[in-house]
Amino acid sequence: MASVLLVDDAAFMRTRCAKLLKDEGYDVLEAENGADAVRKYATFKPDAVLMDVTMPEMDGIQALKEIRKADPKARVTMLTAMGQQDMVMDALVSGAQDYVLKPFQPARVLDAVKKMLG
Amino acid sequence: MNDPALINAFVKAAMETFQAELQVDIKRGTPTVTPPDASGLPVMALIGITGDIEGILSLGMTRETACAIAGQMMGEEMTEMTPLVESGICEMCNVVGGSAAMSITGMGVSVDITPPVFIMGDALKMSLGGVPRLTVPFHTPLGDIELKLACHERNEADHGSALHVGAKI
Repeated sequence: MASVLLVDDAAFMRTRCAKLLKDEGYDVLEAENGADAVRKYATFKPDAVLMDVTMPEMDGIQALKEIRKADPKARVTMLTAMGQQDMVMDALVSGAQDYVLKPFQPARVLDAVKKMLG
Repeated sequence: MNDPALINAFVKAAMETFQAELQVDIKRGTPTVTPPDASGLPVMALIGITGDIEGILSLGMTRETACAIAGQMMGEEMTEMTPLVESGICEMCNVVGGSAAMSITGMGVSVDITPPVFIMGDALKMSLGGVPRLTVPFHTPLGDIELKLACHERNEADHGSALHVGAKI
């Protein structure tokens, strides 16, 4: 089954998203900031990544760039609260496949994951 | 801060976020202006607002309402104030702030938000250097949510914008 790395500093968001993805049959890894995401991506090579934008230690944009530098084929969708449009554009230019706005609709998250997995 | 368009951006963002996240009937109550040091509800998530306007946005509620809201968002019953519930309330405040910030930026006013902070205690008091607060109650079947907004434009007279928080724990 495909694996998804879920990156968000808010434990609630990680738990909520993880439940959604596991119910759909995905294996889920979690990271609580960008640096943790970069380490876990290198170790576990997930099939897709859902990445929050604003996080401590390393934000989602920087983590995206580092992951894509190590793996140019990495598939990443950004999770963003509205008001971060400039960051989203930066992410798309840096190789993110898509973005999902918070508050997110579960169907939108699942569609984004399916889109990444082709 | 007296611009109704800016205030409405926060109120509209809150209503839309609550409706999207909670999927229940939400009724907005009558806004009031409360004194800077008035006490709030025992559970509060707050974010800072920076840029051309500066201030604080907070969402306050009872412990029971916080558990009910987090449980509603998660799709399971939550009855205790756990770190997960705290995180859920913070995230909701974060989304309200982000949504409002986007609307306000679209009006040509530069604004950003800080990461959310969670506070819990009885007789919570929070003031922004004497700036009065707008309080807007939202009534839901899960309990009431109290939005409080204390803001001023950056070029207004210095209010000594240090945040003061006190609580009777």
